Amino acid sequence: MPGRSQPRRAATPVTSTRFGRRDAFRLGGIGLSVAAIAAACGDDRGGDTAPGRVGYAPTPEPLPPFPVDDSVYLRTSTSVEVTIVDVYSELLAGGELGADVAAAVTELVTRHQVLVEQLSELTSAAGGTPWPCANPWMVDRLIAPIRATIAESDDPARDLRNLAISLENVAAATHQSFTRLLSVPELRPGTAGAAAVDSRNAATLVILTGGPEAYVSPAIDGGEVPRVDGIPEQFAITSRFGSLAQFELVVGAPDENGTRTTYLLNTPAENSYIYNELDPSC
Amino acid sequence: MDLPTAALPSRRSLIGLAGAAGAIASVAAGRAAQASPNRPSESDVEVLSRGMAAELAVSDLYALAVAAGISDSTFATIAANHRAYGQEIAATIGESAQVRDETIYSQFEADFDSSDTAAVAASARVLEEALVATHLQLVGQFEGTDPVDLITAILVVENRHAAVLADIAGDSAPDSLLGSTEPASAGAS
Repeated sequence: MPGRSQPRRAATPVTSTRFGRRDAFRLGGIGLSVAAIAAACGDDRGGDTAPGRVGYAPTPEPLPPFPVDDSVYLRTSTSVEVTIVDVYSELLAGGELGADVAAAVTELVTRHQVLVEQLSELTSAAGGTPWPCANPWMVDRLIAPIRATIAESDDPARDLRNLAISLENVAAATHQSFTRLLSVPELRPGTAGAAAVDSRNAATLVILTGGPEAYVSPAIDGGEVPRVDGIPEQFAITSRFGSLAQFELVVGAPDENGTRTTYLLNTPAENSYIYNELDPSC
Repeated sequence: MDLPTAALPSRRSLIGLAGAAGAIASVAAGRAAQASPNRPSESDVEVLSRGMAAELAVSDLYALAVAAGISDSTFATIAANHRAYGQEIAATIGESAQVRDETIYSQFEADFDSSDTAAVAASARVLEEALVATHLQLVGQFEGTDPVDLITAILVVENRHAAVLADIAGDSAPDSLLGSTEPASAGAS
């Protein structure tokens, strides 16, 4: 109302503001937290999502983005067979095997060549191109270092025999593991059959050199596999079911502590598959 | 699972050799992208049930040989292996591992009811090789992948049994111990 004086509010002390400095800090902190959460939950985040690295280890190379189909499994199976043929042929040519094993290994070369032909046929049937070479990963990462270690061994004949048995075992496990992965059931007897053949090859090598004492592994009934000079004994029947576990191969001369070199042989994985995009170089 | 007398001398007849490479190629082209189920199908269960009974029968045959006086502990181990196969198959299909295949048992009973270790081993080797060939044929017929896994894991050890039994039978030439590469041709021939 004009001319009428307004009632005057009581004077408010300057020090009694609604929010103190402490409140401002508190509110500011809450605001920042909310902003951080909102940013973390947003869908427009950028930057490197890889976990942080510690130390100077080389950055792992990503696997090739190649598709894996029946042909890849069959080409990989073939490559393992060719690897064995190459190793055996070298050993026979160099006269490195003991007499008790050499005759059988000569026969084994022929048998593995038959498997190479059969697996190659299946590769073609699956629409792929047969692989004629050894498995490069196995050769570079396993065969070469194992052969170098055996070259310095106190008993190369023993180590080569164990290498042959281990290769047969890992080949059998390879074919066995691929059998379920094949998408066309009609292809499966081919790899399962190769697994059966290689499995029996291993048993035969053991029997020829170990005799009846080497028929059955005590591991079947939960026992320990015996070792001689630190090297596990080989057996014809190693387990109740076909094993896909890694195979331990102990070779070479003992060091000052009596310890020999141990290699673990595994079935091929994505880093040792023979993808359809790979070209043979043999 | 049938192991008829007439089929045993010829493993080729057990294998069937039905999967010619050309046929595989046409099948592969038709269902390259089709993923198989893990669990056994109804027809798988039927086949596995017969397989379980066969494994139990074979286990009982080895047990019969041990009871007849064979002291080689290898026979007891192989008996235990076959019993484990029967039990594992039973677990896969949800049945009780109790009923053996009487046809197979009676077919081989006279061969195993003996203390002549070499003679029994020779018969047992034939039986093991027949099992391997039969299992190879089945691996190509299963619809589920779990049965494929199991039967493949069984047949690779049965082929090891065959090598050991050949040696026990006195047939220790490398050719006999190694057997044939024929099992691998089951899918390709």
